[in-house]
Amino acid sequence: MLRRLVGLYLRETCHVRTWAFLGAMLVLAGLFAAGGLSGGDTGIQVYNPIRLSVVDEDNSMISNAIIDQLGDIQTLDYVYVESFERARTRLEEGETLLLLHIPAGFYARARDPGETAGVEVWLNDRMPTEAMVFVRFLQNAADSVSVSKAALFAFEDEVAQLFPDAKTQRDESDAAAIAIILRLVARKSIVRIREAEPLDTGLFILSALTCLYTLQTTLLMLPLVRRERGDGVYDRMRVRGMPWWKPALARILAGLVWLAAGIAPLFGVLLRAFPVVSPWPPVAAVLVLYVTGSLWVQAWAPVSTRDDTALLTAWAVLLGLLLLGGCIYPLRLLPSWLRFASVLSPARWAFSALYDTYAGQQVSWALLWPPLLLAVPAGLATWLSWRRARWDL
Amino acid sequence: MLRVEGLEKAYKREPVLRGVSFCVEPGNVLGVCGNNGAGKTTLVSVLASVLPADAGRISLMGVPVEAGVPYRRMIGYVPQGIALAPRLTVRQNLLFWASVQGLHGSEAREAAAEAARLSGSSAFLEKQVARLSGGMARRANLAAGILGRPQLLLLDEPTAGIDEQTRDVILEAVRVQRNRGTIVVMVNHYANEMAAVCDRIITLRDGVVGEGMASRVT
Repeated sequence: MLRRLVGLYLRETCHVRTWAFLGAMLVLAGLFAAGGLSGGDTGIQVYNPIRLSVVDEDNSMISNAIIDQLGDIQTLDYVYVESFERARTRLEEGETLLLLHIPAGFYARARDPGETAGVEVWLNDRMPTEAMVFVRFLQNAADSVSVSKAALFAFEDEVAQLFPDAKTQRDESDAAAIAIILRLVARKSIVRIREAEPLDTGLFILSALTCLYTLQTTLLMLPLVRRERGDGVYDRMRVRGMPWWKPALARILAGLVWLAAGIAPLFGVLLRAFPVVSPWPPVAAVLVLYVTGSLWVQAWAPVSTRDDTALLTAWAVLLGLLLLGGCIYPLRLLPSWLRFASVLSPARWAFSALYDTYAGQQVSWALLWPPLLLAVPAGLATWLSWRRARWDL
Repeated sequence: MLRVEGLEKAYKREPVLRGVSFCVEPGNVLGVCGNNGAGKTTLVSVLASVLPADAGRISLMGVPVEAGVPYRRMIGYVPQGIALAPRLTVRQNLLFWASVQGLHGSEAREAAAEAARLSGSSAFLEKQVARLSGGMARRANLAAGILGRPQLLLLDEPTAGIDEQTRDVILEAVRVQRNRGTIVVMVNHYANEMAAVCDRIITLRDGVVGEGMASRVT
């Protein structure tokens, strides 16, 4: 029965406006493929942090010092302290990550003036600008440590009398050198680190339009529901014993077919552009946005008294959700109270997942939890709307 | 038999049906008339179990309305609006509603053809509902209601806004249903139409039943 209902709604929604929507999405995918959407620096600062994985085989003071000092740098999202295998897995899965591998015995060898000990830096082929900055930072840090150590060795004899023995003197001087260098780094005295990525207007527009089209697809259901209620189709369905959720689900599935047809070319281009990026988290985020929007539209459609009011209100709410989601104006530039309220907009999560994916960043599945929670009240509203129609016309 | 006892229904505490009671035997047509807002459509909706009653009892062939699906399975419902998908043809609509009733394949095709024939819709089966005239759409709407030979046919103003010729076709379809032993409850504004097909007419006034004229046309 569900299949027949989906077929019915597909035919009911197959009109010029739907084809126009598909055509617009195709043009958008073409522009994306041709690079016509690459916008460039607008001067607007959008924070786009990267992650660092520190693998220290000895768990020495070096890794602790690095984590302490880098914790204050905004460019870093997370600092993982984990095994080499786990960190390599992250890299292989396409995460934008800088892997800093401190091999076993590094600290002991580093203290020996006669031996050279290397810190390994691992990157995957994503290699964002920030990672390159970190590599430069590490090279600078290494050079600075060498220079500082050379200076300490030069004055070794003069300061030796301050320490009880040579070993203590060496330990203290190493620790002091490392601490000084890392503090300098934290103050950005050695390397100037870009703490924000310029907003790419092209990707911003692309992500915003994807969210807009996703929510626009949900509006297909508004006239369907209203006509069914007004003409008695819905009543006839109920007389025939059809449960309330079946037509609601069928409408969502029919709209999903159109949405998938519209978004598929865009994601096809995306996969070609970034083969290592998993498209599934953003696909899921768009899906959750669509389902949530569809449920709200189906809850609202029978409640509203007039057709024009219903559509205008739905548009207004849709634009509000897009604004709150940062799709009209970058979230960072919104007033703080609006940024706070943005967590309530499912568009925010979909936009964030889409922007990161279009920019070639890996998106975490954890991003889906908030919009999934937002879908629950939407489902409840649809059910309440049905109950209202059942008990009180 | 359709038995209705002490039916009450209110919207936001405003009573619409107040103690409505009647019985209709199989093969009889009950006409329900009354002014706008008298509660006619509400009565049909409650009989169709689209709306729940606040009080009272309804049973059809001994099956109470509370039984749900077994009760609904016996009903054919023709609402006031054209309850069909406008972009589908009449045939596609009828096959869809046949499938909703659990009819498939040749069974569904036969039921659709019979309903089309009885309602006078056979000539425009392949036409899109959106392209039908008002009278054709009414006949197609009736066809969807009489699919699968219901035991109770509920008609909510089936002849509203149509020409005389189409009205005759619809009234003839109602007579055929009656002769088959179907219980028909028809809401209508037109006294002459009611007199033409109804065995009994009740008038709803402020939610209370008053007896109207009865005229049996054979």
